[in-house]
Amino acid sequence: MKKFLYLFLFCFLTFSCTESPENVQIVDALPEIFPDYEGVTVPAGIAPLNFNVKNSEKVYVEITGDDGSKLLSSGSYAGFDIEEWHDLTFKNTGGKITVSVTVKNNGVWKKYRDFFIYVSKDSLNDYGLTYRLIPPGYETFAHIGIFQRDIHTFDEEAVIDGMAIQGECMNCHVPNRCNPNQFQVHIRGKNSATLIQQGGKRKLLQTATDSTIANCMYAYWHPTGKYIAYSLNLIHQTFFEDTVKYIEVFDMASDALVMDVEKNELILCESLMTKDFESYPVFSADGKTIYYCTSKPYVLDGDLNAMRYSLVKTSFDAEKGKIGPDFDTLVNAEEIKKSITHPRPSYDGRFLMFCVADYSVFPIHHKESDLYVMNLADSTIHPLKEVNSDCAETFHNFSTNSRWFVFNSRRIDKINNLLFISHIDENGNCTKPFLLPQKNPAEFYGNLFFSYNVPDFTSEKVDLDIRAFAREIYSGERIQVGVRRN
Amino acid sequence: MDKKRIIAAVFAVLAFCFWAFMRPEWLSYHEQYQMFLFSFDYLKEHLLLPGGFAVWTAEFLVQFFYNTFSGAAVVAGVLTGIFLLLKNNENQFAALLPSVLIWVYSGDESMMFTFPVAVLLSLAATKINTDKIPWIQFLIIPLIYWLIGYCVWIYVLLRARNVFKILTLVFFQFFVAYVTTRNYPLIDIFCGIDYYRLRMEIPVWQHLTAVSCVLAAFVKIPEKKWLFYTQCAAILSVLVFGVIKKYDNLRYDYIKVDYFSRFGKWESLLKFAEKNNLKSDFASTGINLALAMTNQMPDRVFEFSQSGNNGLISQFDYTCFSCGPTAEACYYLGLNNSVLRYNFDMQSGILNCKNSGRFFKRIAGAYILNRRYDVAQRYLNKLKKTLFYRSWALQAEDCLYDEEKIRQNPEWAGILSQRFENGLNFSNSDLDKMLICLFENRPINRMALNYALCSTLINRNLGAFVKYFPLYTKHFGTAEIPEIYQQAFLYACFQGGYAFENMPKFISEKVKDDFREFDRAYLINPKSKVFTTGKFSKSFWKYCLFDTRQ
Repeated sequence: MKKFLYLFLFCFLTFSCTESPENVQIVDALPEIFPDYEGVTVPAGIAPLNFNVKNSEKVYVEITGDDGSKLLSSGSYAGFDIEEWHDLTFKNTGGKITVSVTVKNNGVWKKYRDFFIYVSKDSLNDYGLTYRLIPPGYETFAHIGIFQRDIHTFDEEAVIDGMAIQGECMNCHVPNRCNPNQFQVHIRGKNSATLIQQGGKRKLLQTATDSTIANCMYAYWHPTGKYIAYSLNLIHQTFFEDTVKYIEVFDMASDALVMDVEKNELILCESLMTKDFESYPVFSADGKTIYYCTSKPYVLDGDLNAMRYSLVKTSFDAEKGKIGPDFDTLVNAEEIKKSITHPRPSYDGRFLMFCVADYSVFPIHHKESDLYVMNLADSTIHPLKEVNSDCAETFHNFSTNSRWFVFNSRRIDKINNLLFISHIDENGNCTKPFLLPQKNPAEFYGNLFFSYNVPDFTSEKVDLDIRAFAREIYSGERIQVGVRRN
Repeated sequence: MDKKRIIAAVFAVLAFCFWAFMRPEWLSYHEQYQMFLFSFDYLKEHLLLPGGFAVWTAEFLVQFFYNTFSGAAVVAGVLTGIFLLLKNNENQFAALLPSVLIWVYSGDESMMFTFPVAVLLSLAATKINTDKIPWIQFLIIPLIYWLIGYCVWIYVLLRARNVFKILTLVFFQFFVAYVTTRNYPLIDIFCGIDYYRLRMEIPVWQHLTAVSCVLAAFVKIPEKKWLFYTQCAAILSVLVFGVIKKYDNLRYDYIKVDYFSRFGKWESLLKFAEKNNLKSDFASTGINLALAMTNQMPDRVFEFSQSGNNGLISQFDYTCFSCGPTAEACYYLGLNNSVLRYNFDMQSGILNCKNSGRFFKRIAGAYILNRRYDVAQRYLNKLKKTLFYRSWALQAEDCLYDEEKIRQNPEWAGILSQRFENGLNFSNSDLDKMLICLFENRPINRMALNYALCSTLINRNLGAFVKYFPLYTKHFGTAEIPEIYQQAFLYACFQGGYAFENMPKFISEKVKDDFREFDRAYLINPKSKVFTTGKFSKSFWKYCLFDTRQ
């Protein structure tokens, strides 16, 4: 009797859970899948590229590595076991995976043309990503949070969120070269503070001074961890009654400077605090150069095209903490009639990636915003055609080994920014990016009411004592930064 | 019927009447900051938090606040249920005290309905018979804590007054605080998640009410007639004075204005404004909207206190409440992206991170009007899982991707014809210019023109008024020009040195006579009552010369 029961159970589990396709019709077309993973390049060990097939009652997906190993998935969407997927990708590093999709719709099974997913030789060993999840508000941010996501699985957890510090808007988490032990976060509003955490030690700074126009805002670490480059921005936003364009964000004024993190001092350099607008300063990979963007002053009521930022570089002496004196314009906005923002150097010193839009200091709301890369060896620039779309691509950052980068794009629904990851080789060639994998992508992204914002890689999990941090925020105790002249 | 049931019945009727007829706005206020979903995932996400079941149950009940009478019945039911569950056959008034205290405490609009529901659930748990297996309480206490949060202490103090059981609870709370729920403030873990809307603070009323539940079960007062009346008077005093103290404040005036704007009760709003001299941006926004919606703008615009452009369309001020009437004004004016913006911001301002059915509905509608059907669908999918927004969501879903149906939709047809679609720059400081631009592109939008002209008058900008006024006569003729506009135009002509006979013909003889009378009265005695309470108290001239508030 027992044996019969076991047999029944075995048969039930085997045949009820997996329905194999029968009387399959062959269709000479690619399946309509979400996300579009056809032809993407992924690192070995990434979370499974689960996908949904549009207009399907049931999907039957078989994936085969170049080495012959196979995975099967059957159900309402294609979902793969994490360990089996990792195993498959590691076995096929440098090769490809063939995805074979058969779909049942209206009782008829159809098999579509196979497609490939390429597994790069370059690894992505970082733990995951950090990012801000932000609801579509303009003035209030009670639901805002900084999160971290293990890119090898689907696990996400809060670093800081609105549950811990209620109603406070927080700017993005900025680590030093993906290092989770060295990061800064700025909290805005009545409890404003700049949090700097290094090696488990935390300090909250008041960065507004009599000599500067605002709190420190857009940040970038010096590779030594001794300095942070900041821009100070008087940000303003204006709104439109328009079915396409809702908002323009711009600066009323902006300066750039460097903070000496050890001495809690702002290093003020007149050339970075002119009547022009300076923004988005970043250090080069060797820490000897500062790249930043600068524009002539503009007013929004005037010609919007005036809001164009050039890319400029200056030298930095980390020993002395000195900026300049040489300044060199790398890309002149007036010549190309475009605006350059968000420069980000790769950590291997090869590239400088940035956004290019028709005009704007905040290109996230500009659908024409695209990513470009400058080869620092010969200063040649080219657009990342494989990566760009007809929607805004912005806020990119490199992985620790500089072979991967993550960026924001609105290409899925033109409203929310989602995260895409792409591979870049030593010559600056990119591959088709893939949307951040989710367990059930259509369900996840279809129910998402937040935008991803300012993503960055983190080599390990970020560890922040949220309660202690919240106590410190509300205590009001801050270290007032000092200033010194360059 | 025994005494307890009679008291319960009287109390329930009183509570029902209070919320149904005196404070329906309280119900609306609470309902608009949540969106209960009939879905397993929604239950699951609540059950993952300590006290989550109480939150879920409260949200289930609060959804009925959408309708005034069902909401009032729910509140009355919960408060009466607490009374009935308090086991004290010897003293009914002591058992009534917790319900009365919650009633008073509810005047603090940040008190979440989770708290009374958790009290009710805790008292219900005391009815579980655990006498046969005493050790089971070591399991039940953590379980009750996980389900209802802080109010588990009522259960413990009523049913499990034992050091080891108390230690079990404390140990479990610390376990929860430091192992399972690390990103919540400790105060939430120990004093209840979503018992109070503002984190980091728990009012003493919460503890007072919880303690009263415990004490009520033990109070023994001899049954004497004078004591009965004394207790009766004491309870009534606590209720009446407590409610007056907690509910009678300016905040509730604004909540009422928001409630009237939300449900389009324009006449009620104006009646309320007539009785109460409301002076704030928030109130002015609601009143002006009500005037516009009842075609009484501009005739009565100076009957009420004005607040400049912020009294027409307020600037956002960082809370989930501050711009309800403004968002509604934008909706009826056809400023669709502003509807989105204000509702997004109010949604993002809900401090306990809940979604709002009210705001989701407006956001979904605005996306539909912007032809972003895929995004609208996302919001509709949520609304379809609610009880009270479901039918609207289904109707809206039926219109997706079908512009003809949208144009035929009675709610959206007017807005579609009034809205501006290409690049209008929203500006609160230049409100008149923006609305004139809207009107010039959509001459059907009379409300926009009235708002623009009133904006110039409220700001005493006669130059702008005279500049824009020809638009009114061009589109609506000179036959029925509102008296306020005639007054303003006359005053502008008068300032420009025009003789009465040379003034435009659309200024009636009555208005001219009135102005002569006003002028005479002003020269004789500027402090005359005729300006404050008499004939000219609601005129533009009086507003222009006397009213300092803006």
